[in-house]
Amino acid sequence: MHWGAVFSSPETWQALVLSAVLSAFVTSISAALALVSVVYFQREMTRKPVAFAWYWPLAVPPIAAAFIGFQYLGKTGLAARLWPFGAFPELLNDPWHIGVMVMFAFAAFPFFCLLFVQYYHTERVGELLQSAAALGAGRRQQLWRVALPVLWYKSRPNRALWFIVLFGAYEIPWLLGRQSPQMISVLISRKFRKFNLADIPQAYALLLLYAIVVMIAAYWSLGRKKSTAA
Amino acid sequence: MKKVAFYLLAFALASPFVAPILLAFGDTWFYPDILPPHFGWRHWQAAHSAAPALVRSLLLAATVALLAVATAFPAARVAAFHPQRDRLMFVCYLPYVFSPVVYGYILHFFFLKMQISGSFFGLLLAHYLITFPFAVILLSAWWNERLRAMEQLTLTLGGSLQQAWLKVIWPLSKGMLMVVFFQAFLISWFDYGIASVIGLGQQPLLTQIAAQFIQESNPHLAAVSALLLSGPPLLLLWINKKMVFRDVVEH
Repeated sequence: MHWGAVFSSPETWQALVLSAVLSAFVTSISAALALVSVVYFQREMTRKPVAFAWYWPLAVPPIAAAFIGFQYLGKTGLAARLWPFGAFPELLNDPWHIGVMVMFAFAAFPFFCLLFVQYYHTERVGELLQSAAALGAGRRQQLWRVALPVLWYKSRPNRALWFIVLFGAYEIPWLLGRQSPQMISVLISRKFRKFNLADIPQAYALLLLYAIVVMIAAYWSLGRKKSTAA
Repeated sequence: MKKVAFYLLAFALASPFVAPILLAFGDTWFYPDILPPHFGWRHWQAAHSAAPALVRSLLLAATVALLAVATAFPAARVAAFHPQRDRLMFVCYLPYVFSPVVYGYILHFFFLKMQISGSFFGLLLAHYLITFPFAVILLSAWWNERLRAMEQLTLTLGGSLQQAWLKVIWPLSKGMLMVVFFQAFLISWFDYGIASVIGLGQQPLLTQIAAQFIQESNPHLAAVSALLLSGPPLLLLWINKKMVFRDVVEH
């Protein structure tokens, strides 16, 4: 009965699809932007003391990140005060979840930058590019045929991990997202906190559904990779 | 041009920090003023109610991290050389990839039965249950053939097991254990989801105090608590950014 209620509720499917789309979108965009920035700013990123800025967002707990997003992107926030083009767009609780995505990317982008900086060295991309150039590759070929594929492929497990983590993100969508549709963790938590006792079994059913999705995603991305490597 | 673009990007990443700093020190800051007219420590004095939560969070994170490292190190030795190593590692990933708030609800049922919800011990156990497997993942990569051979060499040369661990393995692994300690500390320090479910509001951590200030629409105190929350991780970064974040990137 409770499972029926969960399966027949559009809320469930909206939450799952929303969580999957947002996390997949943010993970891919952040990783792609980080990849381009690292290849482009390779020298600056490793040497300049300003590179410390890349570590900052990693030191911010999600609840603080949600608050920062609130004060930064809100209608009376810092960005709105500096906005020179008339009315400031609605970025919080907006239908496109832009505020949520920006704050996800705020954490994911620097992480991927650091990851790619490290891979750039461990995979000896600099030397690979030199040999590609020696073999007659142009700058465009070096970039598209050597640097980007090597780094992108290597980052697959980390991209999968970020997808799973953002899929279940709670604090940021809870404070910056809409009431409906909600991301899956927010929906589960809301069901648990309702006073109507009939909602609690549904919350457990949703929780199991979430657990199944996460385990499949984790096995597919982490478990499978390990078994083929072994 | 390239330099300018780089500094712009760095600035864009650092700019969100400006809002909480201005809110924590500024007063009567109304839209559309770009800067607050007055600065002072008033909000920091008003935030003294957050002090017990700050101490509790620090104590909890340090205890959890210490326990996790101490128990995960021998456990990782078993896991690293286990025939089912890949499966064990996969299981270790699960608590870490689950949404903390959802994981909190999974544990909640058992914690209620054991009557440890809402206690400091309950929080400690809950945080231990995520940091321990995470520490095992990091440390099982550290346990390689070379380290095990060192241990066996000590035993072959007549050393006791105690000597092998205290005089050989500990000095070799000190740096790595510190890294894992900081990682585990940060997991516990960052947590809001689990604590909000397991703590029942009776043992509020600093993250929960921050959430409370945000929900009360008290941006000044929320900004103070957000800065307090970001403080220790930034300090750890400052001490040694490589040591703390190298292995976040590696796993």
